[in-house]
Amino acid sequence: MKRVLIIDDSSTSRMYYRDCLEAVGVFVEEAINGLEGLEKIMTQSFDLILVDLNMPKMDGYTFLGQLRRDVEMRGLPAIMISTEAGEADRVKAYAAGANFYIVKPVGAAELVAHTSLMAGISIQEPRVA
Amino acid sequence: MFSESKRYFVDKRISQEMINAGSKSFREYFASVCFQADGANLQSLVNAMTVNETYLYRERYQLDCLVRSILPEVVRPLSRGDTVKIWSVPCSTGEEPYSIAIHLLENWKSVDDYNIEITASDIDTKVLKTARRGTYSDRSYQYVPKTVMEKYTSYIGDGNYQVIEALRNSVRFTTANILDAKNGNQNGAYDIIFCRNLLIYFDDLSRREAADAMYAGLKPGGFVCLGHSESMSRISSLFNMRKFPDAIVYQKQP
Amino acid sequence: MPLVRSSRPVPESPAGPAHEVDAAALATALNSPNVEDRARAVRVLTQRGDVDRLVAQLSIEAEPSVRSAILTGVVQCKDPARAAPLLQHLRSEDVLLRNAVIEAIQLMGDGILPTVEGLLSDPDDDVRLFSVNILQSVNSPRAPDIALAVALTDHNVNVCAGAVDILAERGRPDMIDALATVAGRFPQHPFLAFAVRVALKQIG
Repeated sequence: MKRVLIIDDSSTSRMYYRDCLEAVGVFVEEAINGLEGLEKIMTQSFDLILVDLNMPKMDGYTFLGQLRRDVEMRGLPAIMISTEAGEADRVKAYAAGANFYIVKPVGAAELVAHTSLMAGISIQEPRVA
Repeated sequence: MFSESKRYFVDKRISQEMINAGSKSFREYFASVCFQADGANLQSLVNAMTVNETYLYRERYQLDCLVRSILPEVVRPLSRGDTVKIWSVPCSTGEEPYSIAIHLLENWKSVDDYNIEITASDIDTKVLKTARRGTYSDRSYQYVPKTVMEKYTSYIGDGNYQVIEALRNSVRFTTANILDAKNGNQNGAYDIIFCRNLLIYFDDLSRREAADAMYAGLKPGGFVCLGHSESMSRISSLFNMRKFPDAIVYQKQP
Repeated sequence: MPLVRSSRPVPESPAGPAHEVDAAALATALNSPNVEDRARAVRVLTQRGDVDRLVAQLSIEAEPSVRSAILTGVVQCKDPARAAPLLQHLRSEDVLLRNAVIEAIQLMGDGILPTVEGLLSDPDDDVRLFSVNILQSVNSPRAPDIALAVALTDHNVNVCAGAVDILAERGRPDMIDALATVAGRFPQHPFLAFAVRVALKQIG
């Protein structure tokens, strides 16, 4: 079973992503900011990270920077989720270490498709969240 | 966070707390815990959920981390005979600082190469008095190996064992609280601060103040050890997280 | 035994009350290249309740630990009116500074509500979004009503979703009908409908 970590300070967002991903058989763990995310990655293994950009204590860019600097964690695929749709913001996210970038609010099908691709699971028809 | 069997106890305790608080729904109770000005329901909940056991060698994995990972890093830039300063706060009745002292003497290969100063503080003068006496029941030593106990304690009757005088004299007990850490730099900053199971009792602002104070009171590269279920992740981003084989600890920027 | 008992003085409050530190020494310390000097000066400002100067210092301070001390100090001074200028940093490109300010403002209590409420009609989508996040932590009985108004009128879907989050925790049953209409405001975003469903369920 693939394991995905969702890092977002909004409990509703986390709930939504969890619903979408559990519907396709993914195991989901949550963290409310980048610091908590790093701690969970240090103690559990994951196939993919979904990380929001704007969070207290440690934002998405800083989180990615620390992730990519750490010898053990740097290979983890990470999708950044942000309200910003502009090209400059996408480029900034990729430069910070994101493998992919999704604009919020996120559509369930888009989330599942990208998660499936990056976590290496075969794409199923998602049951609607 | 809680296993199935513990979940039953969690549910039961929360139900009782809700009854005590006179809440008509979980939502109402939850809001009161988050937003009450005096934090009374939060305090009551924390008390109901935490088990107050005092014994030596509690959270042994952190003592192992101290010896195996933290101290080797702390002393790397030091010379023989230099001082390493450790602070245990709140020290309560003294089990923690004595545990640190004993564990270092027994397990740290380099213990004779440096001067180790252990300061232990609490705001409660009664517990400090007990701490200075260093006398505990047999039960408090249940996690201390028998041979270690024989070396560092003497039986004084009534099932009580007292920490030997040399060890009692080597820990400095002071009346202070965690916020005093920020003034520590004027008197020599700490290499390591043990602040375990205190911050869970604090509100958000106090936790923040404590984190700021600890940061100020540490040497660059100094370490903080929190309690088993505690994390800086909801308190402060000032510290770097360090994962060692035995524990995750927090470090001030070197 | 290598354990040595320190004879050094115990850490206590710094010698001398805050007003004994003279103005020139304080100004020098605030501009010192040494982080600890600046942090100590910030603590003196806090003891004196000098919120204006703390706020000003934040604009020139880059070190995270001193920024944190400044912001903790502002919160401790309990003067929301004087703290209000901090909210200019919601527009800052410096993510760390912006987040640090947001976190501190959330600890200020409901005295900061008038300022936050004002920002909820700011033309910048991000400023409104950050303000909604701050509102989440403001302990005022008016917060849910303000959140509902935002959910019903804001033209940015993420700001609305943030407001709906507040209602999930603190909305009242008399808001149910109005809240139900929010999902229909952005039919192309099923996430909003999800958030409204969750909120309605939690309000009961």
